[in-house]
Order: sequence, then structure tokens, then C-alpha cells
Amino acid sequence: MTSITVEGVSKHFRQMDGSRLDVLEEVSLATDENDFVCILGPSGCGKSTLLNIIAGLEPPSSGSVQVGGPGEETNVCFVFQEPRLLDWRTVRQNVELALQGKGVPKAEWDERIQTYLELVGLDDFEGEYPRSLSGGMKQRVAIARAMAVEPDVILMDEPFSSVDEITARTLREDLVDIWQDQERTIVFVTHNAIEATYMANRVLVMSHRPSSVIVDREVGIPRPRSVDDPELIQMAEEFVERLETRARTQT
Amino acid sequence: MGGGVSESEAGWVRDFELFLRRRERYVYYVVSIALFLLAWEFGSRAIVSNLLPGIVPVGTEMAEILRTGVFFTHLFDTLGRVAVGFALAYGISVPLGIAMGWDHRAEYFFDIPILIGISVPGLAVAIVAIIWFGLSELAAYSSVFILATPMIVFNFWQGTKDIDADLVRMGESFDVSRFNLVRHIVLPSLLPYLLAAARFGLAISWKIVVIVELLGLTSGVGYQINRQFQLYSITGVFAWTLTFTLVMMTIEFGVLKTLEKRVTRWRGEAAVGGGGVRE
Repeated sequence: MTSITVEGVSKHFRQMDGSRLDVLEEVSLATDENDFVCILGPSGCGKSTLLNIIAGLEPPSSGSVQVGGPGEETNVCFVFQEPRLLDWRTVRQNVELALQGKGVPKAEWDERIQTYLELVGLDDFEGEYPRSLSGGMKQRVAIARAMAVEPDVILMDEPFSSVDEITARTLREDLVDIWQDQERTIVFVTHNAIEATYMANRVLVMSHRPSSVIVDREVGIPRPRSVDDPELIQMAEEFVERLETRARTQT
Repeated sequence: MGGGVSESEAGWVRDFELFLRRRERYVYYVVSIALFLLAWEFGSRAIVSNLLPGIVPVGTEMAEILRTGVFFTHLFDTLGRVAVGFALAYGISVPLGIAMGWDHRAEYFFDIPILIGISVPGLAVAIVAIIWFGLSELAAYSSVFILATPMIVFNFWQGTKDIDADLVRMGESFDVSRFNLVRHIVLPSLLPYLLAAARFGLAISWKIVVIVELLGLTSGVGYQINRQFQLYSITGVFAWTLTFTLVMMTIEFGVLKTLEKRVTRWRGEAAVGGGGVRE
């Protein structure tokens, strides 16, 4: 389906006092079709900015981003750190808003909603309001909302960092299952090394600001994986070590 | 054995307790109103009844003004003035408040005028309006407009600032059109503020209309209260005030609260599921 190419992207902001804040420096990455890439980095390193640039919500200061082939219409969807559901709309109506926005014909709505709510295990909840759902369930709705649009690329911005660890584990397992079933390109941003290593085909480690890619590594551990797998844990630790070494030399 | 009797007795007591707990709010309402009426009647009898008329004479007078319809004639004049002034104030406040929440230049520009408008005494505005517009309907409309607008604007301003920008960004990320962003995200976010503004605005409006009527108009509830005062009829003052207050309370609780409950039904969902008393 669709691959992403980011080449030499830099981004800087002008701060209130007039000084320049360099957020991204010469970031390059390329995904395969139906790839699952995790971008691992410390908080505030500009991972979210990179996602916004890939999604086309923000322009880069320099460099280029290519999603899909040249001139190809591509469909990119977001899953945010918070569920960002509209409290005054039912689960179903929340998904409908995305379908309507992305121009999915009304005739397909019923089937899409049914399919994707079932995929995240919430098909019995389509008439509920978000208030009556737990944090993990809300995030599932947000995933279903993005999936229901059947996008070429799904960008995820630390979607499990606001739910408790036990819920997050289940959500991770389920997301990997869904990805294997659906074959879509996922770019997943996280500050959790185990999470990244457990889920991704490839992990890109990003340094503190100004961020650049300091590790780009194929995980290669066969699926289904286990979070207790020593090989996986060791690889995750290596990622963290690389970050720490980098942080020491930077300061 | 006697156990059966005491058990059923306990059951009866428990049912009653459960009833009280479920209706706790109303139990307190009733007790509060009853105590107020009792204090009133007691005050009237213990102190001097020509300064504080009792429940019976006031009640009789209320029934009288309702029966003869004189109350309604004046009520409709008052409500008409409230409605026109309030509608003008609300109409201008929507764009103004949203502009202030949206654009910091509009916020800076209107910040001080709004603050002054909220602080200025209603009586002063009423007097100036009568000097300017004479003893006319226009004096009532303009007083309401001047006093209610800042309060309503203030609500919309805060409401617009409180709109969750993340939700708007979510909508944009799914290519939701501008029209649908406003319709499905911005307006529902503002709805509680729209209703709160209506309640505050109406409360201010009817209070100021009564003052203008008292000062210089020849009809309306305020005019009647003043007339009863001129006639040294304390009972009349009480009857008119109380009847009018009851009407405004009905509008407040009967109409606005019901409307609020209906449009914010989604808020209640969780509370209804978990709030009931269960055994």
C-alpha cells in the first residue's frame, strides 16, 4: 500500500523572546509498505512535531516529506495521546464524524462501524456516551475511529501513555493483532523502550532537542513476541543506553 | 415468635429510610420552605403585623390580583420589556463574546468596558436611561441592554476560551469541514455557557426592568409595587413581589433548567448508571 519517506527534515520555532528553538535537525526516515515503525525518544524531543509534519498539519522548515507515490492521494489518520472523543456524541456518532470528514459514503457507515468497533472489542458500546467508558475503552474507540476511515497511514502519538500499564499491555497486544490483520502502515511515537521494541518492525531512536535519528534498527524478533523475552528486553535496554550516552555528550 | 413482627417493622422502617434517601433533595426543599413560612408567620404575629403582614392576608391579596387578571396585564408588560432588552443584549453578545475568546486584540479592547459594565450600579443606569429617553419603553430596553450585555458577553468570552483546542485539532486531522467543526465541536462546547448566559442575563434583566418601571413607567410589576408602596399597602407590596418572584422562578427552573438537562443529557449518563441507591 503506502510508504513514507522523510528526507532531511528540520524544524525550528521562533520563541516569545525572539530566540530560535531548534526542534528537529536533519531527520530522515523511510518506511516500507504496511510497516510498523516506532519512534522512540525522551519527552519533549519533537516526536509529536515530526508526526504533525508527516501528517501535513505543520510545514517543515526545510527538507521534504513524501507519503505514498508522487501525486498520489493518501489518507492519513491520527490517534492522539488522549482519546479526544466528543463527550456529547455516542461512540457511534464519534466514529461517524471521522467517516463524514474523510468523505466515506454513508452507505458504508453501518458496516465500517460494526467492523471496527468489533475489532477493538467494543461493538456492544456503540450507543454509549464516552463518560460511561473507562480510559482504555475510550482509547480503543479512538483507534477504531482512525481504523474505520481505512487510512493508508496511521500516526499514533503516545496513545497508551495515558492509560494504566495493565490496560496498556492489552492494548499493545491488540494493536499488533489489528495491524497484522489490516496491513496498514503505522508510525507510532513513544518514550517507552519496551513498548517500542515489543511492537515495531523497526525502531528509530531520537535524541534530545534538537532531535535527530541516532539509531535506526530492525527489531527482527519473530512474532508473536513476549514482553518478558530477554532478547527483547536487552534490545530495549540498548536503545535507552544509546539515549543516555548521547544525552551525556550533549550536555 | 415475636421475631416476625419486628422484622416486618424493620422492613417498613427501612423502606421509609430508602424513600427519604432517594428523595433527600426534596425532603430538604420542603423542610426549608416550611421553616421559612413558619418564621414569616411567627414574625408577623410576634412583631407588628402592619409592618410584616402574615401569610393569610398576603395569600388572599395574591389570589385577588391573579383572579382579577390585573397581575397578568402588568406581568406581560414587564415580560415584554425583559424579552426585548434581553434579546438585543443576547444577540450582540454572541459575536462579541466569541470574538473576545478567539482574538486577543478583541479581548484587550473590550476587557475594560466589560468590567465597567459588570460593576456599574443598575439604579444609575436606569436613571440615566430615563433622563435620556424619557418615561418610555426605550428607557427600559436600553437599561436592560446596557446592564445585561456585559454579563452575557463575559460568559461567552470564557466559554470560547475554554473550548478544547485539541478537539478542534482532532476534527481537523479527520478533514472535518469548517461548518461541521463549528456545528459538532465548537457549538456543543459552548452550549453550557450559552445557557448559563441566558440565566444570568434574564435574572439581571428582570431586576433592572422592575427598577425602571418603579422610577418612571406607568405599567408593569415594578410600577405596581411602587403604587402599593404609595398607598401604604405593605400587603400589596408583598403580594406583587412574591407573585412575580414565583413567575421568574418558574421560568428559571421550569424552562431553563429543563432545557439545560435536555441538551446536556450526555453528562448525566454516568451519574444515572452509578448514582442510584441499590441494595
